[in-house]
Amino acid sequence: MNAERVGSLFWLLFGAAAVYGSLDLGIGTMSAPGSGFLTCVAGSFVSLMALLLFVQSFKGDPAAQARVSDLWIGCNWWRAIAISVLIIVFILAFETLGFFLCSFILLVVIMRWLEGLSWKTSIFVPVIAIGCTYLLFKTILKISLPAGIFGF
Amino acid sequence: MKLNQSLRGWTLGLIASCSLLAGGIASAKYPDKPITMYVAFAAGGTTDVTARALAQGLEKILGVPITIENKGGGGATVANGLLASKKPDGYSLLVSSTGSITVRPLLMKLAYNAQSFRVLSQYTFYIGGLVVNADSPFKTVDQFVDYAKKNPGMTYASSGPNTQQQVGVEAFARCKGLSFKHVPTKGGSTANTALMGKHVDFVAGSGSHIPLVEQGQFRELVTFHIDERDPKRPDIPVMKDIGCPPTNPPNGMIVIAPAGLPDDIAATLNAALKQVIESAEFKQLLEKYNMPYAYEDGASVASKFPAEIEWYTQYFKEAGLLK
Amino acid sequence: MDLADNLITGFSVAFQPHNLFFCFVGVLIGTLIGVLPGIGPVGAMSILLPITFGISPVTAIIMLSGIYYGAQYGGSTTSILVGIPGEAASVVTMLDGHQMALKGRAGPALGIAAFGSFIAGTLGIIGLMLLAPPLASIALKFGPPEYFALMIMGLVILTYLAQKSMAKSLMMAGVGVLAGVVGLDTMTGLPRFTFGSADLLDGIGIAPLAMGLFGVSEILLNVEKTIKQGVVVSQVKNLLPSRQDWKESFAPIMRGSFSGFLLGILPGGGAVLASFISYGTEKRLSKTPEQFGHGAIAGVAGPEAANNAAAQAAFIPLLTLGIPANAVMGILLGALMIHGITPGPLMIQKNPELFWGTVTSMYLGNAMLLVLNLPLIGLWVRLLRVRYAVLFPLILFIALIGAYVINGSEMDLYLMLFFGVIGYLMRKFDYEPAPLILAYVLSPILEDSLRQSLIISSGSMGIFVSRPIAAAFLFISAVLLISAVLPAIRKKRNALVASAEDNN
Repeated sequence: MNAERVGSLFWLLFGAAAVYGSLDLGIGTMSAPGSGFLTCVAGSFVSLMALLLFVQSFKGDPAAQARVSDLWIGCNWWRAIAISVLIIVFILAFETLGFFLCSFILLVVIMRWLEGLSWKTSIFVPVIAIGCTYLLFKTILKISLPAGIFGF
Repeated sequence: MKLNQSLRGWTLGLIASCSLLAGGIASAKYPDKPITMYVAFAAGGTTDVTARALAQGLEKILGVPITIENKGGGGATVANGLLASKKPDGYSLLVSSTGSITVRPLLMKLAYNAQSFRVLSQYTFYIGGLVVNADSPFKTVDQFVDYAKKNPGMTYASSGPNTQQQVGVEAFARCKGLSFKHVPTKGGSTANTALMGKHVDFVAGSGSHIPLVEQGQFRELVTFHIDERDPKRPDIPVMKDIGCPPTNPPNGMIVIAPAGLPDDIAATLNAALKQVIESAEFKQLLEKYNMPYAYEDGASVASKFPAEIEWYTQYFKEAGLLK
Repeated sequence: MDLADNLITGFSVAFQPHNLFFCFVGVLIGTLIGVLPGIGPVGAMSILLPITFGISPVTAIIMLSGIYYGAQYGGSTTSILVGIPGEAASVVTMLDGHQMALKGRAGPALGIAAFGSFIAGTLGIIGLMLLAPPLASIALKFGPPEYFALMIMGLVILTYLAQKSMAKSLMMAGVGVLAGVVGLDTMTGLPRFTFGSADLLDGIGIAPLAMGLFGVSEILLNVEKTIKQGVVVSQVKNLLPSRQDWKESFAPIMRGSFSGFLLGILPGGGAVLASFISYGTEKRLSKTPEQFGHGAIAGVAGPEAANNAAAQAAFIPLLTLGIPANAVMGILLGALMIHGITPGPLMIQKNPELFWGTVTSMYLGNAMLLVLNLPLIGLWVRLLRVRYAVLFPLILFIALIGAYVINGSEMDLYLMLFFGVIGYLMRKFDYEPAPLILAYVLSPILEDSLRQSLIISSGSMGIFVSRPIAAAFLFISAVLLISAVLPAIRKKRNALVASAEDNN
């Protein structure tokens, strides 16, 4: 599928959704705008631009245009997904297990498992980085981050 | 045999009662770990600074560290929602406003309502007023009312729609049969700026106007939300003086805990809070911010909630704001 | 009391040992905080506020101000080095600054940012001293209609930032405006598009948005590339800006300082608008506009000068009128009030040592920051040479801390990740995130000022043309818009004419 077309179609729908949402809020009139006025205007504008781009994508040399799958040539896209999943797990866990502990685990996992660095680097660097940050926050800045059940 | 058995029995009984006693002592000893005091407004503001002073005072009395955490947002609704989800064990407290608890839930769906909390103490409340520029032609509120009657649609800026101060202006308008155009802004300072730049005719003063009145840039024509004239500013009338019923119940700054807080812990906290609030340093701090000293016990504050909710329900109904 | 007397008073205050010490502490902490994306000076100042209770008001203000402009310096550092803008004012610096870093020119980028900020800061302080009261009264003339017109101009200038497709950038600006709608409506007090979440009542938040769209998305994009093809930071050439760099940067710094200072006075306007107006201006005036977005040093020098000048100018409404221009000034106001000082027109007369002491200590603070930051450039540049595989997890960690500490809210982390993914997809599909962010910042002011103006005018649109300042800005916007679109139209026309001739 043509990448340009997919992209512009997405934003076309997004703009339409915004306009739809604005109806609930009340658009009002030009001289007495309601809560949804700007949303409606902006949403319509986005959809209009998206339509323009959609139409434009039919002109020009089809061979020169990228297809959606082309965007990921030579990319290990699963690594991006892996990082995203790891971050989600981190967010779910850190309030219970402690911010710094979870950060440490996150860093070690990324460095060792995802990036294939040596155990030495994967442990050493996070320890230093997290240790310093912990001290910084605890002593100088006195900002507290969730300590979790392990106490730090 | 018999002696051993009874000896065992006695020992067991002794151990059991000792641990019961120890457990009892442990639970009676509140507080025994640090307390978190959340603040429902941004750092550096009046609520924040007074809350920090409270925390400092409480620390000395209760003997445990009290950490302040700012959780501003949504006009205190975020912090309120957060506290409602905490355990009522006395280790999570919140400095918030009465308005955000009683009034806000009437306007939108929130994660809490007035019953979600146990009110511990109030220490001050907000006062609103009708404020004009110092160089405006209105020197008294009567001149203002006369003009407004002949020229409906004067504009005024406020720190937000349905804030205590804005409602105060509308209540004043209702009493005198006037109609204004309300221009909401994002906060007290923005409203003051609009008045200074003469983009609006007057302002629903929300407290931050007082230093500006003292400096001579603004003039306050009438003060809402108090029943007697402020002794420090005796020339500014109150609603009673101009023949109007009192305006809306004012927004108080209160210390609250999640509902279900055990009575004994509440008593300890209340006693400590009372001591701090009544101390000379704290009173001085309130003075610096032009806030009235208004200590009130939690039970008394909570007992006023139903009337407050009723007042606002009526008001919003008439304004067509209730869904 | 003439100027020389005031300066002498001021310097005698500023040079007192404890004031010097606290100034240094302030700028140091400010830089540290600024380097950490997300948390921002407001957070740092509020944490250190209790310390100020026990010291004199002058010292307190000196320290707190130091944190403020120190954070500006620090924020630029992270923007340039790792491409994560911690706050809106750093976004524009990042556009070309980070590109320079990727090309091995991190040293000159950081250097010109430091020098540019210093020059702008110095000029700003001079402006503060000489022009404070008259400028303050001009700032007061800006009411809702003027702000609306200014925002329109800002949106038009946004289009100048477009590097590739104008239509795509405009569309992204529209999306940005929509993103700014999320949260409580100022005018009705009711939530919009918050999907029931209490955390979204205050809106999405510039920090999670910027850090996600730029920082996290870049990490995701880089991580995909196979390790062998990872981000290659080419051989670092110089650590400091070259003569050529200075030639290209001097005028932008001057222009940026000037415009930044003027815009910084407007309460609520400020550094962001100044920085991207400067960027747009420099791009327009440049002889090599195609360089912008790929490492044009003028694109760093101008905006950096602008946002630092704006930071200094933000003090004016506070010190002369008692009005805080932004959240940072709000904290300063609170600090002053605790010490029993009410800022306002009388303050300069009643507490001259406070005003002049603060102003002169800003000179010292800016100088200290320059001295602090320049040697660090070597350190930062070396840091960049660390393998990306080791670097990016650390960057991610810093981003996570930074985003969380702003509000202590989990939601901010989710938002950052969400926008990281969106940004990743956007860049894949060739959409630019910068217009989105900048439009997001303008959106609330645009909307509020429009609706406020119409209430004041009872629905008449004429208010925008009957008021001179507003009309002027709208006129300028129209001119800018036409002059941007005209070349494109002319090109199309020429192309059509040419093809018609060919066909004949």
